[in-house]
Amino acid sequence: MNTTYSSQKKIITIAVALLLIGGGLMALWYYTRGGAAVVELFEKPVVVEERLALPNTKEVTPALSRGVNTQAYNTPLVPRSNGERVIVPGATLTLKESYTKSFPLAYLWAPDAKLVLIKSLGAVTLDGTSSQWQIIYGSLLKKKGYEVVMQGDAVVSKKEVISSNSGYDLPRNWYEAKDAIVSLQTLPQFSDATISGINFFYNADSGVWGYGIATSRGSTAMPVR
Amino acid sequence: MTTRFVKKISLLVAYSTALLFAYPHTSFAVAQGDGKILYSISANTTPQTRDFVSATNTFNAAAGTVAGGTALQAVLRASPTRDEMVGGYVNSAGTLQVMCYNGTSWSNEWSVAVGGTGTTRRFDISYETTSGDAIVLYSTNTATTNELAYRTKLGSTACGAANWSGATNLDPVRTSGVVQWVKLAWDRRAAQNLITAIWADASSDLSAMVWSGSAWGNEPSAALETALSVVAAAQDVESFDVDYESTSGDVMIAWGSGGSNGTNGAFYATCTGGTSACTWTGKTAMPTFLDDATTLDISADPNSNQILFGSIGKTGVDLQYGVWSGSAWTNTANADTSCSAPAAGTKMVATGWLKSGVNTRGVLVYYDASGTSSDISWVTLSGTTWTAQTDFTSANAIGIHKNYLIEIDPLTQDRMMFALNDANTDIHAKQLVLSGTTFTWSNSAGGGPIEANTASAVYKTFDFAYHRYIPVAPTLTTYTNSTESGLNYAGSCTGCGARIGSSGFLQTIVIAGTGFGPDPGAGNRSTASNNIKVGAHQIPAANVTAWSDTSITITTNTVNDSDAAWGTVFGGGAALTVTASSLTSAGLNFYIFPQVTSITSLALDAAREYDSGDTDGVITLNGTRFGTAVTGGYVRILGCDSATCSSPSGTAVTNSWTNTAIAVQVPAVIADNVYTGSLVMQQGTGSNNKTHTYTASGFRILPRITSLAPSSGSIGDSITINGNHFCQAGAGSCPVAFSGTNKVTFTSAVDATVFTSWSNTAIAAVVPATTVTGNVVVTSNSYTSNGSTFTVADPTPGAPTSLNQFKNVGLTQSIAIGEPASSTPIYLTMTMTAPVGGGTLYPQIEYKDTSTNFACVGSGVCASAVEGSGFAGAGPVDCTVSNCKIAISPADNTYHWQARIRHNKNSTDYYGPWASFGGNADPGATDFQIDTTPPVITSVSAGTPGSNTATITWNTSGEISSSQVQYAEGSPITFGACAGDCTTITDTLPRVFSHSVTLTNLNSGTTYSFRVRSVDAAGNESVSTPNITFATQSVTDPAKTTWFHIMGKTGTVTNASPLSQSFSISMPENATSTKSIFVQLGGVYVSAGASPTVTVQVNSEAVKVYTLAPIATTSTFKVLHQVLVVAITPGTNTLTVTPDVNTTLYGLSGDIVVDYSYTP
Repeated sequence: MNTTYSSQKKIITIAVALLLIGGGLMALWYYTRGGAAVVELFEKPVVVEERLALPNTKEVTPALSRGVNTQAYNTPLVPRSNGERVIVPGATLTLKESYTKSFPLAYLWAPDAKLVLIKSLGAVTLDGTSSQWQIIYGSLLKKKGYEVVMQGDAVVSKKEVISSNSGYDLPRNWYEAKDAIVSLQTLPQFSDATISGINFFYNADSGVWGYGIATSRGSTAMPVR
Repeated sequence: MTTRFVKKISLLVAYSTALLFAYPHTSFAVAQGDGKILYSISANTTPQTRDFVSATNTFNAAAGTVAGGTALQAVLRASPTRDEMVGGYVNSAGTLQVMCYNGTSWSNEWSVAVGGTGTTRRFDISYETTSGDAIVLYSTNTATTNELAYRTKLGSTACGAANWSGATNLDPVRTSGVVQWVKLAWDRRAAQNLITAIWADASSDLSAMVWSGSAWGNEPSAALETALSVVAAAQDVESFDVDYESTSGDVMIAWGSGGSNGTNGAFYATCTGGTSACTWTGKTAMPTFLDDATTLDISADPNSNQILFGSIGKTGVDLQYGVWSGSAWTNTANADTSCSAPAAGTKMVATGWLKSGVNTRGVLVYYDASGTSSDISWVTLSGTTWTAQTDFTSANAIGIHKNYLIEIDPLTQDRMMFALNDANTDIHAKQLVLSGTTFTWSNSAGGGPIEANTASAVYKTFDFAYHRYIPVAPTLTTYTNSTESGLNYAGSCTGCGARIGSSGFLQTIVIAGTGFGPDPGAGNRSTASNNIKVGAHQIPAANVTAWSDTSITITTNTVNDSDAAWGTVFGGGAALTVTASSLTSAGLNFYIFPQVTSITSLALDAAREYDSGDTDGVITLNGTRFGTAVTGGYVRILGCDSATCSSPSGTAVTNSWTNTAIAVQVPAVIADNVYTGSLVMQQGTGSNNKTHTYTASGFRILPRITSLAPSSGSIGDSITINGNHFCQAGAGSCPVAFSGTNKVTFTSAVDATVFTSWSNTAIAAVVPATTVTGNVVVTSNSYTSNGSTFTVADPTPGAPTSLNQFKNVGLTQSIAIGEPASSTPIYLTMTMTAPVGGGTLYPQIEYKDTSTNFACVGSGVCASAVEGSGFAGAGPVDCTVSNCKIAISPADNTYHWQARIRHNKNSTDYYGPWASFGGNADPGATDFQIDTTPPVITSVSAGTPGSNTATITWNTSGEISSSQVQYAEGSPITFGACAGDCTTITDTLPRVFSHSVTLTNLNSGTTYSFRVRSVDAAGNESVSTPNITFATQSVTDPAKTTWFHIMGKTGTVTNASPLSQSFSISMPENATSTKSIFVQLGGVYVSAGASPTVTVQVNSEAVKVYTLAPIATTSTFKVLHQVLVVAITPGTNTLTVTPDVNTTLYGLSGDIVVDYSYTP
């Protein structure tokens, strides 16, 4: 009996102690970081639900390469709170991963296949992933293009398209899409901007690959030398 | 006797050279020969230190380290590879506290219980010679197993508790008691990290192990000794020592066991081979000796395999010493037979070596009972010859000696620090220097003790260590920018340095030089004592990716070091410096260049020429280090500034400019036949005006539509699209036909199909069918232009306006609504307007008699419409000005009419809606009437004339008409045009059927001829014929004049107070006929004016002004004023008389004179 009473007392004591410690920590946190921090604690990241459709690509044109997707969700570039953080459930592949996974298909299609364009079709996360990628290759032998669409980490479409673009050799310093996003994040003029799409495109005028990012400030090109 | 050396001769040479030649005047944080003593103060839990300054042979003032405990046993070791020391001490509670000095400050690293009460030293500290790794070996205060434990810190890491490994137990199998003493010796050979540990336990057993650099091992197969010498109890005295031969790396261990006055009690063992797997020899007795060895010390010559030995036994109390050649001992027994007896916890002999040039000497200091305790007894060794030296007498009093310590300066090797404590709780320090063959003692503490109140009067509460690592100021020789080699350093360069950016844009710079020292650790590469700076900006540790003594690698990653963090720093001459161990290098030129990392624009790497009000001609350069304003900087696009491309000297117009963003307008001066090119910027305010080429050829100028001519039109119209950069495939490759990539697209995605022409600046196209109002966009080589609004107008005209109807061809006589015209044709007009230009506008009218509906309805062709001449659209075309009136000649009748416009454009007729004239009912209301028939005059009669009057009457049949009589005296007369030969009574209205006109003021008894005229509404006139006469009656009516008097005015009449006098006339006869009326005014006046006047008016008749004679004095006047009509009673008349402002009337009076006739 005494043992039982002692155990209950011990449990109650521990519970009260935990509550006091927790309350103290919360109060400390509140007063050291401001009331906004408490609000942030209870905010949930935005989960972007998308209805993805396959692109109706028939021909690869220079305009296609330079057109960035502005229709997807506007992801805050520098989230100020949990509520501005974005989760895209289907965004599993980064831009480079979409290339890595799709290239074998392109190689089977044409052994001289080279990359022409990678374009996000779904929402883009700050990690440089997207729920849907459009990857376009070109072949000098076939004198055609080849479009692969990846959704999640699966190929959902692959087809030949009209194209006179046989693709380009990839850059040596191909940093990831996330790095391109970080580059904007470090600049104050983008502190309250959003992004909705990202391209990996080839500027034929300069002979340089680059990232194109659709931001609320406008289309932003970033070279990959 | 423990002697510690840094034997890296190469370091010595390097440091000496640096001191003598490279930096003779440089102020070092620590200098060669400097050291530090760590000690305790009684009842003070913060250990103290005093820095020894070799240059002045003094100790600096005491300074506290870190609170922890009161040391009874202290150890201090200096790192061979960095400006660092590790200290440790045990307090009376048996707690070991380990501390670390990082060159600037002390920190407590960790503590552990080692047992005991501080009477023995249950731990030791050592650094590996090459790696600089530190190790602490300590007693776990347990017996049987795991009697020892150790912790290590890598030489590459700095001080910090987290940098120590966890405790690892060590279980020597030759030891079973609680360990009482631990001693470590390190292999001083280059490239070696060996350490040998010996320890004594509570059973007075002595054993050993060798540290390989990573693990302990090679414990002897049996305990080296199981009966160590003690004073009273195990293990109350340090009767054992260990050291390495400096050349071979063999281990020498010496100890005391047994023996007595006359019987040797000194033994030794070696571990040969110079490796961690060295071979142990068994316990061997020292030759020659004849005494026990209760307290002893050995030390190795840092330049040979010689080892010095000295001991004093508690039984014989004799000093014996010897020297090991590397293979054998040469010993001397009973060297001094009057020593002080060792007591528990004391150490009364210490050995060391000095070298001055070619001279190497051994030194042994011991406690001789003769003389006073302030005397320090010592002997020296040269070769194998010992020489007793004269005691050195301390400047300050020394009590009974307790613990001796000799530390040799590891770098110069020509001096040593001798320290001891005494029974007075004083700590003393004396320096001995060998110069040539001469020894010199000095009082390094300035003639006083280091501390006069240390925590114990017995135990070794202190330790001294020379700095083994002497930092020198780093020297920068060059750097390479491995990301952009064009920015590599070269002497006096101004184009060297780096750009900053995040991944993809960061740059890596490898700085080469000397004296950077060991890596302070990844987290300590940006401290006050170790850092890399560009100007005042310190590179954060995260951006210092590698650090060695000769090379440092930094990156310019803005994730860790944002542009804002760089503040106003843009580098410059000698801006790059490295600070290592608080010593800063001279600088190298290092400039921070701008970097455009991205472009925000209309399209990727493309924009249009700036056009006022448009935003697609403004691009934003994003990047770093642009400067804070445009001054001194520029942005040039395709080689153009805002004014020229041929030799630009300025910048394109910038809307804003910050360190990270420039909003710039694409110059409008770029040649229209140039499509791609460079984008170059130069830093602005606050910078060194360095440049960056974002792209040498890849910035594209997209097509821009500046205007459409016309900007509105209809399908089928030809329009010209004006603008620039329309030939995106190249100036010489303008399209010659429309295609999928070269096209003009109208709204609703309708592409033009009729190709006319295409140049860099203009495209002619035809508005395609089905297009609607909206933007026109040019696509050239798949690059699209801006949109320019083209209004597609329906050519169908609206209803005509300003409909009108005229009687005459000159269009001066309009026909009012419903009014007639007496002749045909009449003329109908309107104003025509079309919504778009081009084509021809035709007026159309339809007229019907008033009661008939119009036949033309809707928008089709109508047969009954009458059309006028066409004029070019879009109007407005006013048919009263332009000759597009429509003449019609309908029969006499009443009519209504409507009008519309036919717009013939591009061979197509577009009919506007009908508009009815007059705004009246259709049918039913008359818009105009055609009446060409004059009225018929009948029944003309003069009736019975009076003596002065006659009334003419007549009728007109068929239609009403006006009334007019022309008459003249005589019978008959010819009226002709009646110009002056007749009297014409004004044509009168309203028009009537029965006409009556009274003629008055006829002469009596006179014959008159007359005719009547009547004009109908259309203007048709009938004149009666032939002339008709009548005669007035002859009468004898008398004429008469009557006077009426107006009441005189008694007051003055002035301009301000004129006369307004009412009067009435009552004629004496009835039926009077007035012939004339006059008002006669008379009175007196005076005037100051040169031309006096008086104004007279009767009723509302015309005013008349009468001029009076100028006068100087009062005079009379009279005015006769004719009146045309006066009212006969009961009517009332008003006479108004007003003089001018200068004139005053007096005594004014008036008469009315009427001439009249009457019929008796």
